[in-house]
Amino acid sequence: MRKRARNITTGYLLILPTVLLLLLLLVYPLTQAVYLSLHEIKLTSLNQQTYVGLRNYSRIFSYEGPSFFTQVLSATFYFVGGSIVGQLGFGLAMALLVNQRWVKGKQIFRAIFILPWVTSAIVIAISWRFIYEPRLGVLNYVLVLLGVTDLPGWLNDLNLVMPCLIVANTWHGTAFSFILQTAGLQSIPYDVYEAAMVDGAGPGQRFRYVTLPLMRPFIMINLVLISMYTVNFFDLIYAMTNGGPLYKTEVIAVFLYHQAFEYGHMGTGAAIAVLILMINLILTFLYMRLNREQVAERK
Amino acid sequence: MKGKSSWGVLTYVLLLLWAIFTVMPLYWLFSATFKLPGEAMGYPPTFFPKHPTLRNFGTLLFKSEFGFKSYLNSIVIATGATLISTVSAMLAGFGFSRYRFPLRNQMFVFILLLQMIPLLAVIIPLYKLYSLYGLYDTRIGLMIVYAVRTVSMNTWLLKGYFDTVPVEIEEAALIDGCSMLQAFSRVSFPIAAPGVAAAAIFAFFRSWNEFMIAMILTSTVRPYTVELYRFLGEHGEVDWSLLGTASFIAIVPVLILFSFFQKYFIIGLAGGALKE
Repeated sequence: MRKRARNITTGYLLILPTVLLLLLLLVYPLTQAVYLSLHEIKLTSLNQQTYVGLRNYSRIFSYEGPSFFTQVLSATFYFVGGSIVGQLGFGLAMALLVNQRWVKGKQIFRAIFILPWVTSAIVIAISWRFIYEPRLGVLNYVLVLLGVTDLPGWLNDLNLVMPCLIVANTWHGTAFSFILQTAGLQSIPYDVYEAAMVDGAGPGQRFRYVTLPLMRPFIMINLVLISMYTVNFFDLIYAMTNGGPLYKTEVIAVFLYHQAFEYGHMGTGAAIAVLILMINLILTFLYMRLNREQVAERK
Repeated sequence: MKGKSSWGVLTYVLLLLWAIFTVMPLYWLFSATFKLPGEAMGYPPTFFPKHPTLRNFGTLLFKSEFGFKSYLNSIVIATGATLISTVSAMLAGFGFSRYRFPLRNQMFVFILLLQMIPLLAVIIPLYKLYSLYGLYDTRIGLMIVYAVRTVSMNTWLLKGYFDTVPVEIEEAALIDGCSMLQAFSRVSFPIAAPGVAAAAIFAFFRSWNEFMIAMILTSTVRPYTVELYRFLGEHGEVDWSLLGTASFIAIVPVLILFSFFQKYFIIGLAGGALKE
């Protein structure tokens, strides 16, 4: 009996550092975020706060520059949607190509494809800004060589700026999808393909009726994870465009930063944080359901 | 399988194209490192440095405001965060794997769920807390918050590794006269070592590359990411050769490290995404 009690104490002591870290720096601040979102609090006087009810939220929804629904949310949606298409599409395609049995140099291709995922987002932002730079950038130089005279301003162009960011983010995030889809493909036993071949299925049919159904759970999980990662992604857009030009790239993460740390409305910023949290909760819920399905399917 | 050789050729062409697309932006930035400023910012752009030079390294480290300091800060902060995260996660992973205590499962699931909360959602209260309790603009402040970003994932990862160590081996060691600590350090730890390596590498990469939190929670002990951003922002005319050099110093050692430890890196990454 005494040994059991000692075991319980040891168990708690072992998990204590992790639990403390998470409680102090994540759980408590989380409750504070909700609390602050109901208060007026300024960056310059952090000790003074007055209760304002839901006014911070109504302020977000009626905001003019930028407008929350038509500018912030639509930019976020555009960025997330575009990134999903790019990252998942190329990630899956490259995983399928590399993992064909007869491909040589698999290790080298994998190492190269993963590079963008270990590179800091700031360095990624700098290297893409260097490419898009209208006067010195290599992109416009190539266009000149091709004889184009009407050179685009890329990151300064209202219509091109978001596609430019999506390309940069696809460059960065495809690596993650590639790793995840490779793990998925490697989980399919080769016998399944052999059985399909014996039954006379061609490459197209094998892909359609064997690979795709078995990969479905991995694709869905990947989709949710990209959404989550991209909604919360701040670094790349902040360093490449800072939300401009004309709020065209003011995604919700950048909007939060501007409200809280540029204009000093910490309460409004906290309310945006709560909205971001809600988006994340929905995505987490989806993710958990998909994960359960995937585990169930494997059994 | 290779049967249709045109498909074989197409596969390699596509793979090569993606490899070139992947390497190009970094090559372009890093090639500016070895060009003289006039060439890096001149027109037309050159693919290979015309007069390869190492001068930019000297200029950046000794003559510009960039200097060494931010790299040192990054090394100290990322190492500290890695230690805090890995050690806490190792203890917790071992605890969850070996001990039975009330609410064990609930707490484990709770810790995993916390991983889904982005730091972006708590950055405002953190800023307030850090300002009020003297953690603002300190290295230890960044270390602990960076550790929080990886500790739940690492706890999960390491619990998985400890689960694969049979309890019987530990018990045998205890019967042979080892203390619990010795049993852990001589028996369980070596078996779980690849997991510990994966956890440490994951924690280090995430801390080394972090930008947003550092920008908000520091003003003088800035890591290199924040310094790079300021370097980019402050100069109206961007000095691409110095910026390329600064990025080169920050990233190339990490990329070399990565190529050695790739296997562990992928364990951390793919494992974290596919929880069972």
